[in-house]
Amino acid sequence: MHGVTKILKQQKLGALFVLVYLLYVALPTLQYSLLSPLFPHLQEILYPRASLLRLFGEHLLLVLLSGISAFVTGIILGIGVTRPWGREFLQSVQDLTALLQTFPPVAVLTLAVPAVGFGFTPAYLALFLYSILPIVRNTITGLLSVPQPLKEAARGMGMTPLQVLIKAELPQAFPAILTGTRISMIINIGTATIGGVIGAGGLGVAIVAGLVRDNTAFVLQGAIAAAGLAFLADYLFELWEQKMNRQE
Amino acid sequence: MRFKIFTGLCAVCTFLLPLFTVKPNRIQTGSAVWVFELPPGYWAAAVILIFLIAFIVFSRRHTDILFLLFSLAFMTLLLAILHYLQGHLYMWDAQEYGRISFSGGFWIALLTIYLLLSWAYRNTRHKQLLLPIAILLMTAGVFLFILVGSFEHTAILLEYQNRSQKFLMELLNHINLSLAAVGTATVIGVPAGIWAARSQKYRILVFKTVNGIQTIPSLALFGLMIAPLALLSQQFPVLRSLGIAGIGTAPALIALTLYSLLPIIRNTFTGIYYIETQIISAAHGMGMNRAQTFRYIELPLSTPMILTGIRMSLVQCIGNTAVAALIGAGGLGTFIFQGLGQSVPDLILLGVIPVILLSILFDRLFHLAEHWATPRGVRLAWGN
Repeated sequence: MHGVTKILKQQKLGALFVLVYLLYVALPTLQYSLLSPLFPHLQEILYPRASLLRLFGEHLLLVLLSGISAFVTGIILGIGVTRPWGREFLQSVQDLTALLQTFPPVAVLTLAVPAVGFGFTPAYLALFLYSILPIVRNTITGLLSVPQPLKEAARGMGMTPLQVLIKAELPQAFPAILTGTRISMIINIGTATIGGVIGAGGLGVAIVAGLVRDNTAFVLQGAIAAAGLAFLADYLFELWEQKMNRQE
Repeated sequence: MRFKIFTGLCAVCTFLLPLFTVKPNRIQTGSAVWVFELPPGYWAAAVILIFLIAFIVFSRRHTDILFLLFSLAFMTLLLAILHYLQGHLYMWDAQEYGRISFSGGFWIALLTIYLLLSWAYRNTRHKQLLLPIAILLMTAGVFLFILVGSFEHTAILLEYQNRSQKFLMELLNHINLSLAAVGTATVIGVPAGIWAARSQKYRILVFKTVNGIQTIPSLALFGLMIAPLALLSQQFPVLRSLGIAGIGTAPALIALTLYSLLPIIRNTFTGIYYIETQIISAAHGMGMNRAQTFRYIELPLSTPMILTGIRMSLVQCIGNTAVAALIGAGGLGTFIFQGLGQSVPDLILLGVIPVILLSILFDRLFHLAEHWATPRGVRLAWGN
């Protein structure tokens, strides 16, 4: 709790942004009073089928589930191919992730529909698969950049290979892994917005409904929330990275 | 060894999953085509191919040619099965309107071919030769089968034939939009990057702004563009006569340009800012003035980096242009979202596959350009 109050003191502007954003998402009256002056001729200002808070929840669930599973899988994969028994796959995994990263995220998301169908599952799968890429790449880069003498010193102290990995290599590689996670999370939030088109719910639903029904207020209602969520995630990662830099 | 086993497993999986799906028409769900439902010749060929691959897996020889041949044989077998299906649609309860879609096995087959080729490439002594030959042979093979009519009932081709004119138009539209946005972003971004490298004061401001833009989800940015543009065109009819409205090309182009700024500005900045000071000092020592130093030293040295930035922008932009179809900007995304709306997976593929191919194509082209634009001396110093 002490850490939280300290951050709040240092980051007044950031805390204010988070507070305003959460209030905007939670309170339909706030959304209404913000948007209605802009669109005096529109009858409906707020997306009627679901509250923004609900859409926000769906969005967050999709992003967190796919992000966390990608984080775990990506790190395991990155560790695997940098061990002696997995080295053979290193080159192919690097080539393949480089190739797959040229695929647009929206392509991966919509490809999931012919493969799995509509709904939450295809969106989850697509986001999961796409989020792995930056994490694997950065885990590999991070682990490969750990200096050889450091590993040898750890071995010399009598650590087992597993201990070397956990106590020496991973802490060294963690900044790179964190950067990869940050990139993948931002892409993930953006792609999840398009998930509204394939029936996965989320904030994109309001935007797409607004586009289809030519109601700019719905579009704006959802777009502000989606952009805010991306800024929020980026800000939290920024704080985390700052905190890590200070510890060093 | 493990790599070869993995490739072998992929080859086996290809035939354990359904390769294709045959549908009686556009709407009905289809029935899966398994390899063992085919005449003995086909599955015998599959079994022999797998045994041959297994043989190579367990022999210790690194034969690039064999792996190349296997990938070709693998592709030929797939195409032959496709050709057989064309003539025997009735066996899967489909008639003249029958259409064939690709299934799980087919996609795994593509992965297998990729793995076989990458293995051949890694172990060959003729790296310059192998890949062009493989691509040439494969394209020739596919074209041969197209000429023979093996693809006539392929669903994606049928979707294409229904709208071949529109497809060409949207493809060009897509390329135009992406190139226009990245072109504009280059015109703005390169000077901005140079400026950021020169002026410490505005550097943080520039990067905070473009970083912030890049963080916004693409669909949200498109959405945020609509409202102000719609208001503007309502206030000023002149703008409307110029074609600027809340929906359509104008908001898409602005949003795509804004999106493309970050990689270009960042790479221009990095390219110029991190040139070693000794080089600049040497240039000054030779009597070059600031303009000359920029023209003969800084610009050539940072060009590869700037091109990398433009490449990243373009690849990202091609993907985002697909999303722009949602706000009525056209492009290949039109087919993707139509396909999603009508629940026709093959129409989605008709949009998605060209988008992916375009990304890869422009990525490769710019890689070549980067290599070509790197000064010879720098190339030698890097050792490639």
